[in-house]
Amino acid sequence: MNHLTVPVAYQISIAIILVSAFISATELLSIPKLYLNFGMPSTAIKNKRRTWITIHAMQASLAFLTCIAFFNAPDIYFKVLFTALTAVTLYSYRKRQAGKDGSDQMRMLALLSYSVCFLLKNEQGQLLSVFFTGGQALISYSTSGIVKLMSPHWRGGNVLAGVLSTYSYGVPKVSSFLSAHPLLEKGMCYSAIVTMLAVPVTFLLPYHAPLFIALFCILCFHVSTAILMGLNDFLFTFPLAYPGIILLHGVIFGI
Amino acid sequence: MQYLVITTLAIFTIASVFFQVKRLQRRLSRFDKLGILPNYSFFAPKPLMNDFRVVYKTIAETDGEWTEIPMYKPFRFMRLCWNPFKYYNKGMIDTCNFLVSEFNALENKKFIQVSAHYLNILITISACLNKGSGDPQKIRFAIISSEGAETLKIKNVVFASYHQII
Repeated sequence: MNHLTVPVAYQISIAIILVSAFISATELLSIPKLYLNFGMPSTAIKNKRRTWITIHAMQASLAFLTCIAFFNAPDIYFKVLFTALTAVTLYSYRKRQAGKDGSDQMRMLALLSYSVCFLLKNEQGQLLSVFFTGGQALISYSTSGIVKLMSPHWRGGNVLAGVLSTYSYGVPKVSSFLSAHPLLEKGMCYSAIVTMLAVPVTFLLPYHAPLFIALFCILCFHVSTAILMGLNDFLFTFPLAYPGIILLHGVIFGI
Repeated sequence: MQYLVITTLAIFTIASVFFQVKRLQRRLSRFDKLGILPNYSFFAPKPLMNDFRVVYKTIAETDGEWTEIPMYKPFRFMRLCWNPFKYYNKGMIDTCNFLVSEFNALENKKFIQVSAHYLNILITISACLNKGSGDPQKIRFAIISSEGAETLKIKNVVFASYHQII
């Protein structure tokens, strides 16, 4: 039984977007020393640093204020603040030439689509925005699962030890353990593919339970990549689309 | 207004699906002025299984030692909640990747010296070297790829710079 209503799905999704935007902005703000110029290079390193701090401090403050406005203030304040947050995030997103990943993409799309949907009547806009983000998450998990399934490296089942052996995305001890247990590594490679594909596959079934299980499994997958690979942003961002997936599924199958 | 918003989001969703096909990405990018069409093939088809490392040395009367730019931090459980370093790390990896692909695409390799990514790495080295105030120095830098973490193995030199004054 699906008890998720549009306003509740919308509220959950907005709350996750705002938490995700706040964490991301504060992380960007606190990169210890901005040696690397993430935008186009210029000799004015100090000035760029100041701009960087200003933009991300604004982004973090706007995320915080929007969250307060969402739960405690009239709708119009929330919409104005949310749109301002979208504008600042888009500016930062466009300026950063390097250092972006899938969670940045998803967050940016969610912010943009929710802002665009403010142009519609409340319930209609809410429905459309959660559907849109749900659709994006389905595309994302399908693509990631299919590309991995078609990849000989992933099918070979010997990818994880290699990835986890790097400094960039790894934990050397886990990598050594997996190298010593190739069957386990193979199992983990396949479980990553199955978990991703389970979301779109269970979405096509006219039952809620398998979809909920698939979403729970993919959430656990995000927790594990956050710990093992340091990709915590995915954990705070992708769940924003889950209410949309559940709602869309309910509408399609009338359950 | 209703139809405009629905049409926009529907077109974007269809474009997002087509954007996952590698052959269509360049064509669709032409219309994507905001750079927001997403690419969702995370760590596939072939994931990164080596690290990039940027090393540099000063060149005076005698050559200096190669020094590595700090790009990596050891594992901590805390990164489940808080991991700002990932942006810097990913930024460096992206910059190295962009630079190498640009270098491979160039006919006249010397033009790489005016590449935004080349300059970006020089700025990074300059910040490491001078901490904002120092005399001009002649340097060289290189991007190397390495495997493993506990037992580090240098794989190859991916890129070597010209002598630069910074």
